[in-house]
Amino acid sequence: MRDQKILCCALIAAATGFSEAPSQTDTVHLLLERSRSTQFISRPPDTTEVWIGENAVVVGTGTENILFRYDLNRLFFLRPSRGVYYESGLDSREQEEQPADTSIHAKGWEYTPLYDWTVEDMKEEKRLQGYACHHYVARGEADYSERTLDLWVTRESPIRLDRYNDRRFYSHIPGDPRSEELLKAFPDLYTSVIVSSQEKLVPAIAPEGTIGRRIILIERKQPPPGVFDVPGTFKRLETYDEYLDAR
Amino acid sequence: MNIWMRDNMRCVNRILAMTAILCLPARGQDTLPGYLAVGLKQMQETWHILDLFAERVWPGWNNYRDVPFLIAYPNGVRLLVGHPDPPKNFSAVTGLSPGGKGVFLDRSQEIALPLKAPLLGGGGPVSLGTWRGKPVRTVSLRLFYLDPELAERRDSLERGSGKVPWMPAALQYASENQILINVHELFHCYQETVFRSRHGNLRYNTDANYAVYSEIEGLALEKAFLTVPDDSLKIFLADFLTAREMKRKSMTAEQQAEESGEEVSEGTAVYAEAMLLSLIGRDYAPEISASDDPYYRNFAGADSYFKLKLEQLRGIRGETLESRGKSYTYGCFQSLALSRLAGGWQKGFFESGRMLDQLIADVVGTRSGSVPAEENSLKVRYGYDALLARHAEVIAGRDRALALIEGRKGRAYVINFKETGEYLQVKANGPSYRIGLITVFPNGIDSMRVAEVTLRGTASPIIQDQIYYLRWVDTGPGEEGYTIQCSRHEEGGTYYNAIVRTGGFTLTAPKLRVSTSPGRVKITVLSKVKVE
Repeated sequence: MRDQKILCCALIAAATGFSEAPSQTDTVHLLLERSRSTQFISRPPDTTEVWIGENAVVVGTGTENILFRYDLNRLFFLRPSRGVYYESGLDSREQEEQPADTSIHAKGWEYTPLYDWTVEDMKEEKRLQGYACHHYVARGEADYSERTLDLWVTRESPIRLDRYNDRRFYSHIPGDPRSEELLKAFPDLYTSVIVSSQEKLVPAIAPEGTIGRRIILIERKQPPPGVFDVPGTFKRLETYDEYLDAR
Repeated sequence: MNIWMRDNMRCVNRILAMTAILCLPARGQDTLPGYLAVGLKQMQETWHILDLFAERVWPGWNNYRDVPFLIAYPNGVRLLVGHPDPPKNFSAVTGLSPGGKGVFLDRSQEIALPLKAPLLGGGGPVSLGTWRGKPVRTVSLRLFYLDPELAERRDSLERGSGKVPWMPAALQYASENQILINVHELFHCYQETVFRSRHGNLRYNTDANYAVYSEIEGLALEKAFLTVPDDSLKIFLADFLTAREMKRKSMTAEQQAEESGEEVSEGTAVYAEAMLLSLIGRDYAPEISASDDPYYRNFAGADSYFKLKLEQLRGIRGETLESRGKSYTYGCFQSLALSRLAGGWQKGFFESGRMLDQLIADVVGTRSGSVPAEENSLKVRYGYDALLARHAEVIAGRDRALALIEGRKGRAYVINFKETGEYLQVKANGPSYRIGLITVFPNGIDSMRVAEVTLRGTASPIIQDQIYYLRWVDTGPGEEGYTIQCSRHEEGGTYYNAIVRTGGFTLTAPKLRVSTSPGRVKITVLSKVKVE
C-alpha cells in the first residue's frame, strides 16, 4: 500500500515536472497569508498554517485546526482554546448536511452565483518563493455577480497535488480561490499550485471586495510531534452544532 | 529662577501664546452644500432629542453620541461624522464639529447630480474601518430625494379614488422621519452592546395559513393596544399567542426563532421610536429651526407620528406575502403591551436572551381552554373564512406567477443597476409578487427611472432580483434579440448615450456596458447621469 502511494507521488511528480530529490521527510509545511478589504473595512493579514503529510493533513487557522486523517478516513475539527473537538467521516460532513429546502417558503432567498469562467494566459513568468510561476487571469461572470482572479501558479512545488486539490482540503483554506467550476474551466490547476492570487469579487448586493492570498512559506520539514493527532486531553463533542457553539 | 518668577513666566508665556493664537488668521471654514448641512443638523437634533429622552425610552441607553454616522448620497458623496480614524478617501471638513465630532467627506465618486432637501433613507450598523484594533460600528445610511410635489400628487390621487393613504404626504417628506430613522439605527447600536442575536434574519415566504393567522395576530395586537382595562388587554394578548401557535405550523423551529429574534431587534427599535414620540410632545424644545432645515417642524403633532405606528400595524398585518416586515410593528406593539402590564420589563431584557412573545406568555399566564377550542373561538371572532379567502387568492396568484417565470426558457437579459447606488422603483403592469429577494411582474413593467436612466417595459413577464437587477428571458428564437443605438462605443462593450431595444424592454442610459454569452446578455448601467 505504501509502495503504491510512493509510486503515485512519483507519477504526479513526474507529470508535474517536480524534479527535486526526495528529502528525508515527505511532510510539507505551508504558511498561507490572506488579506481582505472592502469599501468599509480592511482587515490585517491573517495566516493559516498547513502540514501536508503522507497520511494526514492539518489546517490551522488560529482559532481552529482541521485534521484530515486519510489513513483513518476521519475528519477532526479541533478548537484548541476550548480543548474540544468534533469528529466525522472524511466525507460524512457533506452527508450530514440537510438537503436544500425546495419548498415555496425557501425560494428566492439564496443566491449562489454560477460563474462562467474564462481564463487568459498572460504569458508572463516570475519566481515566487523560489518557484517559477506563470501568470493567468480568470474571469467569472454570473447573472448578478463577477469574480476576477489574478493568479500566479507553479508546476514545480513539492506540495502533494492530490491533497492540495482535494476539495475537502481547499474548502477549509480561508479565502482559497479554487472552486469546482474554476477547476473545470482551468484544468491546469489540477497539476499546479497557486502561489499567489488576487481576487476581486463583485457580489450581488454587498460592496465589492478584494482578497489577496499568497503562500509565504513552502518547506519540507519534520512536523512537530503530535501535529496529526487529537490531543488525548481534548473532549469529544457529539454534534457539529455543539462544536460551533464552542466558539 | 525662583518659584514666583517661574510662575509669572509661565503666566506670561500663556498670555503670549494666547495672543499669538488670537492674532492668527481665522482658520478657514469649509462651506457645505445645503443638503449636507441639513444632514448634519438632523444628526445634531437626533443627539439632542436622545439627550432629553433616551434614558426614559430605554434605561441604560447612553452610547448614542459615540456612534459615527456614514451617509451616502445619490450623487456619490459620502459624509462621515464622528469617526476616530476615517478610511482613505475621506477628508476632514474644517471649521465644523457638530456635537464635538469631526466631519469628513468622500467626494471621490461624486457625479454631477444636483441634490436638494428633502432627502430620506435608511440603512443600519456596519463596520467601517478600525480603531485600536477593533472594527468601528457605524450607522450607515443611504439617502434619496423625496419629491414633495410627487408625494402630494400621489396623496390626492389616492384620496380621490376613495383610499386613505397610510401616511399623509406632508409627513412622508418631513425631516422628523429621518430623525426617527437615526434614532432607530442608533438603538440597534445600543442593542449590540448588550446582546448578540443567536438567529439570522427571517427568510420565509408565506402561505395562506401563515397569512391568515399573522393577520389575526396583528388584529389582536391592535385590540390589545386600544383596549383600556388591563384584563381585556390580556385576553387579546392570549388571542395573539393562540394565533401565533396556529401560524407557526408551517414554520421550522429555526424560522420561528428567527421571527421572534427579529421582533426583539427590530421591534424594540421601533418601540424606541414610539416611546420617544410619546415623550416628545411634553418636554421638548428643539435646537434647530426651519432656517436650518426647511422640512423640520419641531415634531409638531408628534401624536400624528405615533398614530402612524398604529397605521403601519393596520397596513402591514393584511399583507399576504409579508413576513419579516411585520416583525417591526408586531415587536413594537408587543413591547408597548409589556410596558403596560410589566413596568420595567426592559431592565435586563436583552441580556436575558428571551423573546418578546415569551414575556407576553408569562404575563398572560396559563391557557384557559384547550387549543382546538381556542382556535375555533379565534376563527369565529376574527372572521377566519373571509381572511382565508382573501389571502388564498393572493397566494394562488403568486404561485401562478412563479410557475410562469420558471417556465420561461431562452436567452436571459440581465440589467445591472448596482452602480447607480439606488434601489429600483418599478412601476408595474398590474400585480407583482415577492418571493424571497425576487419580485415577479407577471404582466411586465410599465417603466422605471433612475436619474437619467429610463426603462420602458412591455407586457412580457420580468423579475427584479437581488435589489439591483432586472432579468427578462427572451423566449424567441435566435441570438440577436437586441439592438443598440449610441453616440459612441468603446472596445469592451461600453456604450455612451445608449438605447438598448429588446422584445421585453427599451433601456436608455448615459453609459452602459454589454457583455454576451450564448445564454445571457448582461447590461451594466455604468452611469445614471450624462458623462459626455
